[in-house]
Amino acid sequence: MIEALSFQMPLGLPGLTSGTEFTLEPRVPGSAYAWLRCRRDPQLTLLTIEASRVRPDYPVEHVRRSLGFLHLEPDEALHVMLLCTVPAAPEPATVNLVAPIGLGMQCLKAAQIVLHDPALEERLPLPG
Amino acid sequence: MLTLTRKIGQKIFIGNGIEIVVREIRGRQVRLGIQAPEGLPVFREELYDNLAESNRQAQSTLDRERATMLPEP
Repeated sequence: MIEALSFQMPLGLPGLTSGTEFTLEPRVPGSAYAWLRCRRDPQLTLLTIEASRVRPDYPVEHVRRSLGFLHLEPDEALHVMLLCTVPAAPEPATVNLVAPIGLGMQCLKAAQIVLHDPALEERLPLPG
Repeated sequence: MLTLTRKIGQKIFIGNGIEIVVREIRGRQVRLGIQAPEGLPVFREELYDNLAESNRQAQSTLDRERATMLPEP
């Protein structure tokens, strides 16, 4: 379950900002969805969803290996979020499984990476 | 932008942990070897551009009202 927290993304968010301070806030308590906001630019808000709620077998350990430069502790809990694209209806709302954001829950540092896995969709439709 | 001239086998160091070596030059293509700290993202330009565009689209098209009503999975 997501809790409201502040964390760093040392590499920023590609294409959007080089800001490194972010917050994650559940859409409502207990929700799989959470708002990702850049503290330097509060207008920069994105909807994210917990990867495990989209796909229970999401390759979390692959994400962990790709985040070596964050120097996570071996037993550090890792939170994996996926960015949602939610345009006005009737365009489909989708989620990007290819480029997750991995967040170390102990160091509170995160980064967006790209997974090279043909089983992961870049635009998986979301219900609703 | 810093521009450097290198020959095959010569290297460039960026900071303390990134090493780039020119491996091969064939016609208009250059093969580079990159040694970077484990897990540091290294992207081909096309892949980075695709990721950046996907992020921009997620932000610029966000319908916040609809986003608040998406059913839980």
